[in-house]
Amino acid sequence: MVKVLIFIIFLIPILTGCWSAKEISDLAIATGMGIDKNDKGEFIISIQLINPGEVAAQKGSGRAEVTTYKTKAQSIDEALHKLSMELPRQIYLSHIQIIVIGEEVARAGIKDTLDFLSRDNEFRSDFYLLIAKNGRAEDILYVMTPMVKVPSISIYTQLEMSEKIWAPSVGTNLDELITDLISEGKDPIITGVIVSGNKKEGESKSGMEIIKPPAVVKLKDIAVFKGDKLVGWLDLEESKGVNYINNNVKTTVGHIKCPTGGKIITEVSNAKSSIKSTIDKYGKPKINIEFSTEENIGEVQCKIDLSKPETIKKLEKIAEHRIVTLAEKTIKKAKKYNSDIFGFGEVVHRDHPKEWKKLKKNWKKIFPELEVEITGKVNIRRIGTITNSVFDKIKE
Amino acid sequence: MNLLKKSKLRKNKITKMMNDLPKVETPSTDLIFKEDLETNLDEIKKELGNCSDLVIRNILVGNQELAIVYIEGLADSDRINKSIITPITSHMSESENIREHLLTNLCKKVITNAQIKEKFDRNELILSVLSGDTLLLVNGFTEGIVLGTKGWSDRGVMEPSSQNVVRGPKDAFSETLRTNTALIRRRIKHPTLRIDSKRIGKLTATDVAIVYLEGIVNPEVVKEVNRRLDEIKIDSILEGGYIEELIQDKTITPFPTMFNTERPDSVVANILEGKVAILVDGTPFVLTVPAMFVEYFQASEDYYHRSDFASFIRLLRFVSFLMALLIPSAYIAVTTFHQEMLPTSLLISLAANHEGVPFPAVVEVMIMELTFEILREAGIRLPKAVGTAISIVGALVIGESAVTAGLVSPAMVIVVSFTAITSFVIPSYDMGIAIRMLRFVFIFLSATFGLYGIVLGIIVLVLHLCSLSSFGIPYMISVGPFHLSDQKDSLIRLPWSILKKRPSHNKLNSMRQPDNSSENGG
Repeated sequence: MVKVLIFIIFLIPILTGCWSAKEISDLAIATGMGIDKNDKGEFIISIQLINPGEVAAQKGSGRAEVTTYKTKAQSIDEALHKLSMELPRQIYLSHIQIIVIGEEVARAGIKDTLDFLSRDNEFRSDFYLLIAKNGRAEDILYVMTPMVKVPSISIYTQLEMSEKIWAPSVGTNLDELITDLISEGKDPIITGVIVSGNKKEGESKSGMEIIKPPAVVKLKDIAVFKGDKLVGWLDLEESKGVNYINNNVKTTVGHIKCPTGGKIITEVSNAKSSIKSTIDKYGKPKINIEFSTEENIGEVQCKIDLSKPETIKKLEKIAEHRIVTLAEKTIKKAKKYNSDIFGFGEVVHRDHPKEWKKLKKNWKKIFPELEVEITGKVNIRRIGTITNSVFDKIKE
Repeated sequence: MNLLKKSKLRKNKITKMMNDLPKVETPSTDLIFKEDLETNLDEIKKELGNCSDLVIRNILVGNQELAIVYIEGLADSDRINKSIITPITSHMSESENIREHLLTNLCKKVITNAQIKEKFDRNELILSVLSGDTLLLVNGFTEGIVLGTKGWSDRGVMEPSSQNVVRGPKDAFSETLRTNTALIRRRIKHPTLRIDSKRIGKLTATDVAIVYLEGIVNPEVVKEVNRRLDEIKIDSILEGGYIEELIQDKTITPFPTMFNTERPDSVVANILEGKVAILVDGTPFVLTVPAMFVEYFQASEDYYHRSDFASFIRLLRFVSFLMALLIPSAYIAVTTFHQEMLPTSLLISLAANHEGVPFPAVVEVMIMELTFEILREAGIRLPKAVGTAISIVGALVIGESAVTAGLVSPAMVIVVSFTAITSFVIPSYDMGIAIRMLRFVFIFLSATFGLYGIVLGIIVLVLHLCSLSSFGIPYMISVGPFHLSDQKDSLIRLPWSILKKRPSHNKLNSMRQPDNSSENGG
């Protein structure tokens, strides 16, 4: 009896038959996905799949490192399964790096696409979402990239890197996007992406054989959403502004006007913003933004004596003014779109939870009228390895 | 003058020895020899089948007939000549009065051999001849005199072949029991060291010695060892492994529950911790009980090196243990079930590696693991010169060409070789065997259930380890049951100045360094 029981116990694992096992060689590893729609409202899904043999260092037979497949269906899920008609392998979504959404789709609303992305268990939710500015998502996934062989990984790293060292970029992943969407006091923003250059040539591998790539995928501007619909774009300056306000600037470079004419380039090494809200006796909310940044002098293109502390003080004042105007400009634009991309509503919610209950219903009406006070504090810490510009001494 | 003194001393010694002899009751007549020498010798010849290595030397001194019986090759014939035959022939002829109490006089005055014993039991007498002693029979007496003349050729004390050290003693046990007990005795010069002997095996009559320190050892364990040894009913014991299998705790487990080593220093260290050593004649491997899991990860060298380095090495061994056990199965689990856990670039290179490989990961792992096990087994049995050839063939030809031929992926070769290397880090060969076998269980589990299966396997493994015990002591003692003071010398080794107590399995006399200065017996 016991022997029979032991035998049965040993049979159990065999019966399961490698439950949900998938061999690595049966997988088509997807790294990027593009979501578009056609006129009939059908989804057009383009998906970038890796040819592992080509990506690996040693060999490579000259074929492209990735292949982008495209199909149309009523939903994303259907489209992905429908692709099995064209694909020898099963699409594996866990390693998706970027999901590009066409501008048209974004303007119509991204609710229905997000549901699948967050419901499917294969997605890792650490990928970045991007909006194909003035174009279709599939075009982005057709362009080859130099240096990094897999274009999606290249775009992912581009965004990650530039978020670190360049103020106007913002990386939005799925969780952040959904949090912003469901929050009543904040609207989402997503970085835009474009193909610049000759698209046709950029799609072929021969384009990678010349020094100047015929086409590059470029991050450009930030898409402003109102709810789940794209309503407009922020330009370079405004993108900087939104990142300064949202405390999303790690390091960046900017320029200020030199008191004597010309420019001084400053490197921001530490930027912080703190947003607070007050509510006056009439129940009107007011937002206070306080910037405090540390900057270094990166480049001097004018005649100025940096050895004097007063000069530094003066430059700090100019820098403070610049950051404040930058923020003001951005807020103005956001107010125009009536999209609370800074999460001012959330700030009021946090500071005054009771009043927020009354305010939140009318927030869309209050926001365009919202009074925002901005103060800036800039400290210039280092002026580099030389004090005054050597060009001062060049005889003209 | 000097000579006289010496002989007097010797006489005293012999007298003392004779007095120490246990009083033997005269057994019934068929168990003892007859009075007639010729009959006795015929009987011995008949019983041993007139073997070619049986030597019977008749001596006639005056009119007294004597005979010496020994086995050529086992007994030292030089010593027989010098200390038995020469004294008898020269002494007995010159003084006649010696004959009155012939046997007693022979023992006390004449024979100069160190070991000497008077015995009646015929079987016992024959057994001593067969173990290399010399039997002296005298016409007219039923008892025989056993003279210790064991002296066969011996490998001698050499360097250990299975457990080498960089720093530490380089001697190893050999096949002779007496040499081995001497190696232990040399290290513990304390009167409480006990060496009890037993003969096990109806045909081989193998000498087995139980060695422990009275006052430190747990008497219950000694009693238990004796009880289990007495229960053995087997015709032959050729190695300690026989005894190990016959007396270990009756649980089905791949883990060794008796520790074995060929290093005298680690046996002595175990005895000093209050363990019992079982020495078996004919093998350099000594068993010590009770065994504990952590013991298999401790090398004797740990205690000779600086403690910080020893601790680092020990941690390394435990990590290696886990890696040797789990790397192949983790590889299967991650590549066939949980690809999302890998960094993207790693997955891509693994996928590129696996491109064109016809087998699923589990088959690949099994092929490579079995190949490795076969190579390893082939390497052990081969003559040393061919062994290196095998390793070259195995490593280069099979590893390299299997990859080039596209049979296995390069990543797989890395996994298997890493597993192999980590499994060699564990100092105990026995524990290595357990890991080698369990590795396949884990491969099977991960191939069917993925990481879930591995975790399940680990849970069962830990429960199993905690359920084991060795001679009444829990196998996982110091961890389960937990003893804080044992942690000083398990995963890590703290300096000797802190290791004041013996391990906690030893309840008796647990202080290694007494707090007061008075000596308390070791």
